[in-house]
Amino acid sequence: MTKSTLRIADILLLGGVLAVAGLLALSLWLFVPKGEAAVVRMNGEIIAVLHLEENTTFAVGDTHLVVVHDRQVSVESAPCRDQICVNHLPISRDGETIVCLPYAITVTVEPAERYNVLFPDIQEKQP
Amino acid sequence: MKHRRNPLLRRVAEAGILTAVALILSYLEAVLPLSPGIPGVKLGLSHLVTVFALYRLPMSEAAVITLVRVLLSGFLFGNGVSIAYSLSGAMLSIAVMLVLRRFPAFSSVGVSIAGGVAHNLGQLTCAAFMMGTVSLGWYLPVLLVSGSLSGAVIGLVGGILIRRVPGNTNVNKK
Repeated sequence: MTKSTLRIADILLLGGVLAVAGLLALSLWLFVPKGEAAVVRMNGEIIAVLHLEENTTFAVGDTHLVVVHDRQVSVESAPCRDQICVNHLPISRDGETIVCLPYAITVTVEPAERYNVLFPDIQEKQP
Repeated sequence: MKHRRNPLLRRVAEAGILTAVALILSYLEAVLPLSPGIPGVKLGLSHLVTVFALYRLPMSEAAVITLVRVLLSGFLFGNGVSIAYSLSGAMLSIAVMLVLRRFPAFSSVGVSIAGGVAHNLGQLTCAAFMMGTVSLGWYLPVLLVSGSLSGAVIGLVGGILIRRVPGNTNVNKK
């Protein structure tokens, strides 16, 4: 009956993954600064850059409503069934992203110069 | 009944039944609100079938069952985008589990945890490609935790099934 019971290696694996996740989350919270711009992308192409300093509302076509309030950005309304991006908490730190999978829309907080130290691969795909 | 002794027929039937069970579990999970509303975070009920098959069928069949299930449920309940996501997750997951299955230090729980985490990493990578951004790295801790926890649950339940479900199909007996 030792075949399928929990083994030491299982617990080590679980603990290891959880520890990595915890460290990662901690370092993200500690070292990633508040962002300055919210970049709205559709299919990877930038369709709007909103400054977090000023409260604004941006309509993506007639489907999504992106709202900047109190230096945080959130998605106020979306037409899809799951409403995942609408339920997402407002974001404010560099690299944080709200994703709408069905419409391939992302809202990402980035530094004003649009270059992110933590995720250096964020480069604009200019059309 | 001559069929009973035909090993090929038997294997085909078993693989077919398990694929059907996996498909039903996929459907159940799509219909029931088991997900907490965070994309990518889910229990992965059909993962149960893969773990079971890994221990009770030849390992290559576990991979085939998983791929067929992903394609079928994708065409039935999803679309092209969702097929790409689940396929990238499932392929990485089954590859990692096929490797870990060979190490007796891990039980079905460890194998399933690794599979759950690999599944989420595969999907995250796919999302990064499709969205054209790597900033999804913020998601990494969330998906690591959810993948390992749901993997552990599935691995525990799967372990019970592997021991209890009757049948002499335990080809990987050790």
